[in-house]
Parts: sequence; C-alpha cells; structure tokens
Amino acid sequence: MGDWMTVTDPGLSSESKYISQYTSETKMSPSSLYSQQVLCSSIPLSKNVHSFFSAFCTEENIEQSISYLDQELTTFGFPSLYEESKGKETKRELNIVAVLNCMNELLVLQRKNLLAQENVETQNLKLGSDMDHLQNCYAKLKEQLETSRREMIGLQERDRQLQCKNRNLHQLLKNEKDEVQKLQNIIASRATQYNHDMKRKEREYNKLKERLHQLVMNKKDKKIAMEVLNYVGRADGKRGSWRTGKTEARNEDEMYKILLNDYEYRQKQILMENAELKKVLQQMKKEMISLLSPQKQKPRERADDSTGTVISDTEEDAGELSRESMWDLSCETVREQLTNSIRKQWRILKSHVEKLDNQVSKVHVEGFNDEDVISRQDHEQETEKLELEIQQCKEMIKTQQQLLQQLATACDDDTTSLLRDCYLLEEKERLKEEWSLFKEQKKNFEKERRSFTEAAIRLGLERKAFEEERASWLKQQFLNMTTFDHQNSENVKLLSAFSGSSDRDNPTVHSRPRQKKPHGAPSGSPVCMSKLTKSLPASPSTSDFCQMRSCVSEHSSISVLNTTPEESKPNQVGRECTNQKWSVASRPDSQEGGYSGRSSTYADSHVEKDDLP
Amino acid sequence: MNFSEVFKLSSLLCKFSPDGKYLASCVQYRLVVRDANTLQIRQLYTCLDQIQHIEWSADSLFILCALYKRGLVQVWSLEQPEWHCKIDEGSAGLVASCWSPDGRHILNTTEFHLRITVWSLCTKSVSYIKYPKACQQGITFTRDGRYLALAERRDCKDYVSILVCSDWQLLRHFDTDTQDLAGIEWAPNGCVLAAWDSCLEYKILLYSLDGRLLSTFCAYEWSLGIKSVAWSPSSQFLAVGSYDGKVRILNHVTWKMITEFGHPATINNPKIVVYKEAEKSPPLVLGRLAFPPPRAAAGPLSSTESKYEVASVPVSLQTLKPAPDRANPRIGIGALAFSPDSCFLATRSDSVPTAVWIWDIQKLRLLAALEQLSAVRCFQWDPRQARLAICTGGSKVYLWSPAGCVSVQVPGEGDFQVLSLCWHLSGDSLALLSKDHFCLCFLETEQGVGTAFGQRGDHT
Repeated sequence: MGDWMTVTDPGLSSESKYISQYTSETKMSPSSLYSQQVLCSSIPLSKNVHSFFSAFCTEENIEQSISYLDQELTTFGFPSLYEESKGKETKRELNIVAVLNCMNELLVLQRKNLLAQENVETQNLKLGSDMDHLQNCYAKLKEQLETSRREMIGLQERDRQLQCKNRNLHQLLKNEKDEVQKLQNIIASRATQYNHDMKRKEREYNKLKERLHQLVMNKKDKKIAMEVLNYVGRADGKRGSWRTGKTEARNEDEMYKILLNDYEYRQKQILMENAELKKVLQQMKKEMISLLSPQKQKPRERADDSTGTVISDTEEDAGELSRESMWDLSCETVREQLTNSIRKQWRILKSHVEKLDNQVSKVHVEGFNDEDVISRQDHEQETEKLELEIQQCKEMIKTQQQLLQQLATACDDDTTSLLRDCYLLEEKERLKEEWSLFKEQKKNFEKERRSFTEAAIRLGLERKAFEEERASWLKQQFLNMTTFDHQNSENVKLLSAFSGSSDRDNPTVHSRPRQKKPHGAPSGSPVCMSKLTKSLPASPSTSDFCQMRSCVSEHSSISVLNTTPEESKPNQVGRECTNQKWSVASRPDSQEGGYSGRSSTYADSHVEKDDLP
Repeated sequence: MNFSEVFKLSSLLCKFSPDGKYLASCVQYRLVVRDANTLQIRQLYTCLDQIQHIEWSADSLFILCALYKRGLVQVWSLEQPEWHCKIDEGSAGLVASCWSPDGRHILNTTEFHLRITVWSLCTKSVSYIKYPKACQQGITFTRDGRYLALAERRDCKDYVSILVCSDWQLLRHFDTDTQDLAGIEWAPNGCVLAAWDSCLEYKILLYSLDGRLLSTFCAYEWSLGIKSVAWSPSSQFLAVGSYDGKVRILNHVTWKMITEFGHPATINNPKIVVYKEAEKSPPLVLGRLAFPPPRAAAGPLSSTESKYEVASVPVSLQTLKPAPDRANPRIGIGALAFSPDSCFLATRSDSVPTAVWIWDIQKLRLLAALEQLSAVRCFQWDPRQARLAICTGGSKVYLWSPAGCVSVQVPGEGDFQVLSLCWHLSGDSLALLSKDHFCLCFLETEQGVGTAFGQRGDHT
C-alpha cells in the first residue's frame, strides 16, 4: 500500500496494475504475510496523512490540488467536490460533504479492492499448488509414456523377430512340403519300378516253373505213383460219374439251387424280422396315439394351429392305417404314409417332451436357486449367530476361570494371612488396607478402561463407516475401470483365498471389527484382574490376542503385497496409465490398513501397561 | 477236472477223429490211434519215416500221414488195418497234403506250388490243378464239402477257381482285384467267399458262389493291412483283424462295417472285467522238504501256483514295442476266434501278447480281458459252449467262460509245458500238447463245472 502511495503518477488506473504486480510478487508467500501487510497498511495511513498530503498539496496549491482532485474524481464518475455554482463568475466553493462522501467511497473501494486482492491471491495460491500437482502428474505421466514407449518398442522388436521367425518357419515348411512331395514322387516311381520288376521276376519265375513242370512231370516219372491195396468205395456209395456236358449243367443247377436256397432263407428271415418290426411299430403307434390323445385338447385350446392340424392328420392316418389289411401290403405303398405319420407323431411327442423337460428344468432351476439363496442367507445368519454364541461362551469360560483363580488365590491369601496373624496383627491390618486400596485402584482402572473401550468402540465405528465409504468409492472406481474386471476378480480371489487359509482370520474387512472388540467391550476387566491378582498362569487370551494381532498386521502387509504385483504388471500400454492411477488410489489405503493394524497393537500394549499397577 | 496219464508225442501231432471216437497221435514214425474215452490203443501203424503231418478223413475212416521230406503220403484205414496206400510224389516233391471233404481224395501240393495233384482212393484217376498260388490260405472247402475254392496266380494276376468236389470240375473262374492275394475263406454257409490281399494293402473282397463280387471293404490305405480273418459260425459276421490293432466286424447284409474293436493298452471302463493271472508260491511245509528235492519241486514253474484276480480298472496291459527294422512286426491282431454260438469273439493282439480279449458280439463291446503272466500261445473255443481254453506254454491251462475264469495246473512229473491244445467234439475233454508229450484233460459234467466256475465267479 505504501508503495502505491509513493507513486508519483496518481492515476487510479495504475492501481489495479500494481495490485496485480504485488500479488504476483507475493504469490509464493503464505496468506498470513499478506494479512500482516493489510494490517500495516491501515495504520501508517493514518499516521502519515499529514506528511503524505504535504507532498502532494501544500498551503500554496490547495486550490490547484483541489481542482485537480475534482477533475480527476469527476473523470472517474464521482460527484464534483465543488458546490453547484450559481453563476459562472462566482468562485466555486468546496463542498465538504461531497469531499467526505468521495473519500468514504474511495475508502470503500479501497477495502473492496483489498478483499478482491486477497481472494485473487488465495486463488493464485490454489492454482499454484494445482499447477504443482499437475506438473507432478505430468512428469509421472511423461515417465509412464516413456516406459510404455520403450515397452512398445520392445514389443515391436519382438514382433519383428517373431515375424522373422515365422517367415523362416514358413520357408522351412515350404521346404519340407517340397521334400515330402519329392519323396512321394520317389516312392511312387519306386513303387512302379518295383511292380515292374516284380512282374518281370514273376514272369521269369513262371517260365522256370513251366520248365520245371515239363522236366519233372513229363519224364514219365515212375516214382510218381500210388500204391493201393485195393480201391475203396465212395463214401456215398455211388459210382463215379462220367464227365459230360450234362454234369456241368447239373453242377450249375446245383450251385444256383444252393444260392437260391440261401437267398430264400435270408428273405424269410428278413420277412420275419420285418413282420416283427412292423408289429412293434404298430404297437408303438397305438401307444403313441393313446398317449397323445388326452393332450390333444390342450394344444387345440391353446390355439396352436400347426400341431392341431398335424394331430388331425395323424388321426386320419391312424384311422386308415390301423386297419390290419394295410399292414399286409408291401412296404412300398404303405411306407410313405407310415413314415410320415410316425414322423409327425414323433415330432409332436418330441416337442411335448421337450416342453415338459423345459418346464421341469425351469422349475428345478428356480427351486434350486431359491433354495440356494435361502440356504446361503440362512447359513450366514446361522454362522454369525453361532460365532456370537461361541464368543459369549468363551468369555463366560474365561471369566469363570478367572473367578476360580481368584478364589483360589484369595484362599491362599487368607491362609498366609492367618499364618502371619500369629506374628503380626498390624501387618494384617496393613495388608487389608492395602487390599482395599488395591480394590479401589482396580475400580478406577476399570472405569478408565471402560472409558477407553468406549472411545475405542466409537473410533472403530467411525473407522468402519470410513472404510465402508472408502470401499464404496473404491468399488465405484473399480466399476468405472471396466478393463480391469478380470484383475479385480483375481484380486478378490486372492483375498478370498487368503481368508480361507485359517478360520480364525476372516477377510480383513471382517476381522477389523473383531480387532476392536477385544480391547473394546469385554475382556479388559478379566485381563486386569488377572494382573492384579498376580496369578502367574497368565490367561491365554492375551498371548493369543497378541498373536492374532500380529497375524492381522501380517495380513495387511500381505494385502499390500497383493496389490503391488498387479501394479508392476505392464500388460498393455493403454491399460497401464489407468493402472497407475488405480494404484495411486489404492496404495495409501492399503498402507493405512497396515498402519491401522499396527497402531491398534500399540494402543493395546499401551493399555496393558496401564493396567499394571 | 481229471487228467489222463502222459503219453509220448512228437511234432505236436495229435488229433481227435471228426466223429470224436478216436485220438490219433504220432511218435516219430509211428501213428497211434487210441480210443478217445478209454485211451486204449486201437491201432498202431508204422510209417516209412518221421511223420510231419496227419489228417483224419471227414468220415473218420482213414488217416493220412504226410512225410514231406520223402515226398510221401501214407494212408491208413481204421476199419481194415491191413489196408494201406502210399502215394509218392517223386521228384516233384511235396509241401502240403490234405483230404477232400468226401474222404476219398487226397490233394497234394508239389514243391514250388507247381501243381496240385488230386489222388482218388476209389478210382485210378488222377487230376491235376495247375497254377496254385503259394499263399497263406490258398485252398478252402465249403462246410458242406461240395465246393473247393482255390487261389491261383497266372500271368501276374490273382484268380480264384471254384471247383465242384464231386468230380473236380471247374465251376467258376474269376480274377480278383488284388495286388497279392493272401488268403481265401468260405463263409460257413458256403455261399460267400472272402478273399483278402496281402498285408501291404488293406482290402477284403467278398464273392458269391457264382463268382459275383458282392462287396469290397477297405478300412484304410497306406499302412499294413489285414492280419487275420474269421467268419462267425452263423455266417453273419466277418471279423477282420489288422495291423493297426483293431478288429472290424462286417455284417452279411450290406457288407459294411458294424463296429470297430480297438485294443488299447489301458482299460478304463469299469464294466469290463479284467482277469489278471497272479502267481504265488505255496507256503513251504517243513515236513515235506526232502533232502534230494523231488523232481516236481525242482521246476520253478510247477512249484508256483497261479490264480486269477479281478483287477480294478484302470488296468494297463503290458505292451511290446515292435522293432521297426524287422520284418513281420509283432503288432496287429494275430488271432481271432468266434465262439460256436457266435456270441463271443476272442482276439489276441500281438503287441499285447499276454492278453486275450473277449468281446460280446450281441452288445458289440469288450466283455472281459485276461492278462496272463506269459505270452498266449494258443486259444480255442469249446465246440459246444462258450468256453475258451487258453495255453501260454506254461504248465497250466486256462479256461474262461462268461461265469468266470480258472487256471488249472497240469499234474504230473516234471514240467508239462502246454504248447497247444485241441478240444474234443463233445467239449468234454481237451488234449494238451507239449513238446514231446500229451495228455487229456477231462472236464467234469455240467454240474461239476458249474460249481467250479461258481467258486471263481465269486471273485467277479
């Protein structure tokens, strides 16, 4: 402000320029500095009024300066500082009211400007941080782009290599094919050659055989002979017949007779088979008709025209065909009718059966689904209930155990006190006092603990709500990223798999409320009691507890690990960008999960320490 | 189950007569004919040299003994012991000899398959059939004995001749569309002839009696083809075992494949009963241990007992890995046999030599599998019922029926290694052949067998 006052050029127009300059200078400075300046500016203004104005206006040039100001103000649209002159000659009087009004207006303007300046500066700051952020983002994206570009180049290179390989393989294949073709040709030629050779050899062989035959057989080999004591009679008792044309004809006749017999036999068999099949067919047809007839009305009622007509057709056909005489006709005449009618009926039957099947399957599926859903819900409810019951039972057992121990220790105390009683009554008194003190302390601690647990519960609820919110947000995010679906499913699978690893460790989301429970609602008092009573066999719950805690923290770290490999998976260039975004979104929460686990352990240990007297 | 005493035997030549009354066996150059029930010697014939092949005539009146080394066939009559017949093939040599179904003709195949000589015992007439093909199964008679189908090779082409057995007249002669015909076989009803190509190509052709080609079946190409073929006794099915380890069943109406039986090395289906032969040594009884151990105890095989256990699925069977660089690889279905009622099919896969697979033909699925301790040598169906006898070259004989499985130790001194077996016509007895001995195994009557199987059936 002071700077502006020292400006020799009193143009109001420069004000805005200066402000802008100023704000640009103070861009990096926090807003507190700015407000200080504003504060400063108002104070020196009042102090330096005199000296300030003396620089501009002196005793001598009041008039000029007033007129100058008047001029300036009027040019800016303010009312004139002078009173309305009645006459031209009369010297215009300075209107104090107007001056004051003007000043006031100027001040108001000034304040407004300051406000605007402040706004602009904050905006500028915001914009600056936005800019930073965007620059960061830009840098990251640039990096990504670079990596993806590199990958792309790598992939292209690989592609090229593969193509090269492919080309080579194609070439090899072609060569192989050529080779095969060549070999086939060779085989074919060899085969023909072989056949040719074979034929030649066989001819030679035949020639030799012929020669041998001549040599061996035509020599009137005396050795080739049969010595028989006496010729025996033929088996059939007949005499051998002469070979004549008649015998040949007879042989032919006999042969054909045999063949005919065979064919007749076969025909008979086929006829028999046919008759049986016809019988079966007829029976089937009858049964079909009887089966379908009660349902005929229904499809007609349903105005199912096609089937209705078909049925009427078949009825007619059936009427025709059911006559016994038709069955005795040769197949050719009846065949068409028969096959047609059977086909039609079969079609009806088939459609009917399919319908039934559909219905059945539908009913089945529906029923199954319903059952399934119900059972699942029931199951979940039941398991929840059972879990609750188990929890309660466990607590009961714990408390009972503790009570028992307490009793036992109390009893011990009593005996020792009795023993000591022999020596010192005072000490006993003291001990009693101490005991009451301890009890009081215990009560206090319990109170404290309760408050703690309440706070923890509240915290837990809040956290739960937050987590739910986050989950829904994440889900939305996930849903938005449709390309990610299968990866998501993988993620889910991983989670579920790890949840199934042990029955105690439910999915992390489920386990969280449980984490709170132990140091929340119930078991605080038993723990502290056990400490108080100094029972050495420390209740197993605490140690278990710690283990579980560590487990949980491990799991949270695991979940972090689970997410990371997916981030580093550079599957596709286009996908990676979104992937990165997602990782940015997801990483803090996973870390937070880890921290939350750890922090809760700290809290717990802290509470335990407190419990110790 | 009773066992006869052990008799001497050579070259596994032991055969029941077709009427079931007699049992012929050879010891070196002697032919012994016994009563099949009492095992008393009925006749004893002495041949000129070591007998290499014997065959009963269809009417059980004659036995031919082939002495391939000498190119001789000697025929003996059971009714007239003094009657004799000797056929000398001379320098042409002899590689095969068989009866015609009427029991009055003998078909001799000369060396190098130059020709087949048909000798008649009734007349002096001699017939020659030229160009017989040297193949796995080149001669086949119909069940009724009317027709003979013969594989021929002329001018580098395969032919089949169908001859009428009564007068050896040619009825039909046709070429087959094969590269190298490997075998022919009549259907039991005598109306369809199956002809298959050599193992280089999977091809089976079905011809009617009058020479028409009914159908051709080819399961796959470019791989080793058919290894074994069997007709069902009802002529309804033709089972074709091939080198891919599968059996394909063709039907007699369309001659198309009905089903395919694979022989996997592991059996997963819990419905299939897998019998596993398990060996266990008998508990040692101190009192029985004599210082010089008796001969029976000396043999390690005879001292161990074996029994079947029902293995729980999945079962993995022992498989042989075939040597790829050797001829005749041990893969594929080497043996096939239908039960007499055509309800079951027994198969052996050469790559799983210890197992016998029994298939239910009515349901067209695997019914049971038997895993033996050693490789299966031979199996044969009881001619009367669904009962399968198996031998593995050990001292045991194994029987399977739908009710269960038994393994029976062959009693006797020393080690009786059952190399082959053959059923009596009635299914009441079973001849077990070892390298130089044979014995008869008499199976109990129906009731006894029933209980025996019942006990085993408890395991199933």
